[in-house]
Amino acid sequence: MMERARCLNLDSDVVARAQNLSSQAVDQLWGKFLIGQDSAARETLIHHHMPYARMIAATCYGKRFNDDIAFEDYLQWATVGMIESLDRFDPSHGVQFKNFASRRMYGAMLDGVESATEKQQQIALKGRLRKDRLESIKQRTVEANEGLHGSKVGGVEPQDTLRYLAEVGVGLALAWLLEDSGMVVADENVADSRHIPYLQALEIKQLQARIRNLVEALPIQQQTVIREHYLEDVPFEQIATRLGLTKGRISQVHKQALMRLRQALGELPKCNVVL
Amino acid sequence: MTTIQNATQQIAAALRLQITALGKAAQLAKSKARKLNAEPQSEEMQPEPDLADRIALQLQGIAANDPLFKRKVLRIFLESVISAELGVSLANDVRFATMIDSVQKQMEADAELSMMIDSALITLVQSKKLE
Repeated sequence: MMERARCLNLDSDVVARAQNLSSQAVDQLWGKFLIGQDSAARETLIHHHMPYARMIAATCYGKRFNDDIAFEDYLQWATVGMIESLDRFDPSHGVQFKNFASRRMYGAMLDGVESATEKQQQIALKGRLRKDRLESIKQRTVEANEGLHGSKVGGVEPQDTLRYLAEVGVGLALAWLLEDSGMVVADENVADSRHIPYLQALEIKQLQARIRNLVEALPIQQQTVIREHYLEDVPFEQIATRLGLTKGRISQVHKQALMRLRQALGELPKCNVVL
Repeated sequence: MTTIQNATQQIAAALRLQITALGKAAQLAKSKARKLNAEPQSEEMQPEPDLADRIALQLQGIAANDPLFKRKVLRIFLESVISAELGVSLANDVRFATMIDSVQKQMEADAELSMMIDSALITLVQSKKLE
């Protein structure tokens, strides 16, 4: 439908003529479209009703709760709703097209707003979760490096900084693997490789399967934090409230879990077959 | 005279140290596990391909005046250390690039890490360029 909307003739003269048609001309177009399936008549009818779609979009936009979604998005949803209505319209029911289409246009806009708001919330939540993880991983590395070398990380020596960056990089990679490991999927054959050739997706899939098994072997508290944070997208703060601990403590448990996983992965043989 | 080649050699050497350190840690963990499980020594670890040589080659492929020099060097660094830690065969997977993208974006977006990237990787290169 969106594709068909994009393929419309948007020549300004054509649009202006379509929008200033007499009611008799509009009736003739409906006849051509409904009986003869005339695509040119359909296109003209769409242009003719665009001001109405704009008006409905503006009404809905005027009642918005916040400015997160632009008017153009409302107009797009209303237009799609209007085109869908046009293709489904049956005048034998005795309803005016505008009455019939307005309900679909409002529905399309409500669906669009719901979806866009949900996406924005998800993006914000993901950002928050990643921030929690990064802070936890950075903390782990600082402590590890201080313990190993007795010097502050980020000092003058590039080697120390490189070591620190390497540790953070590996920690974030582990977090990515956990985030994307689909641990809730019991059947290992059900992976998200639907759009990726099987062989190309094999290495990371196998590594994630190993990580899934290793998570099972973590102490119960670490397992809880990893499961809730990565599978249920629960921020550290909420896990802390649920477990009656501080956010800082959850961050520590998270870092300990990653360290254990990393250590355990090191103990497993790697499949280093370079093709 | 300069010398991006010197710079790349310097970075490659630095990376070699990191990879060796990661490799040693992994080997230590494995030997501990063997002791605990009393595995036979015949299952000795296969030597891994020399990543540092590959890194040096990749670094030489980046032009000195490349506007994305910093990002490219960081990417090679991350690809190297992560594959050294988690297995070089990961690079065969198309999603490896997505993983590196995600790690790199998060590190670059963090002010503290971004400063460190500048100070470690870029300072290393710049100092060599001025030689």
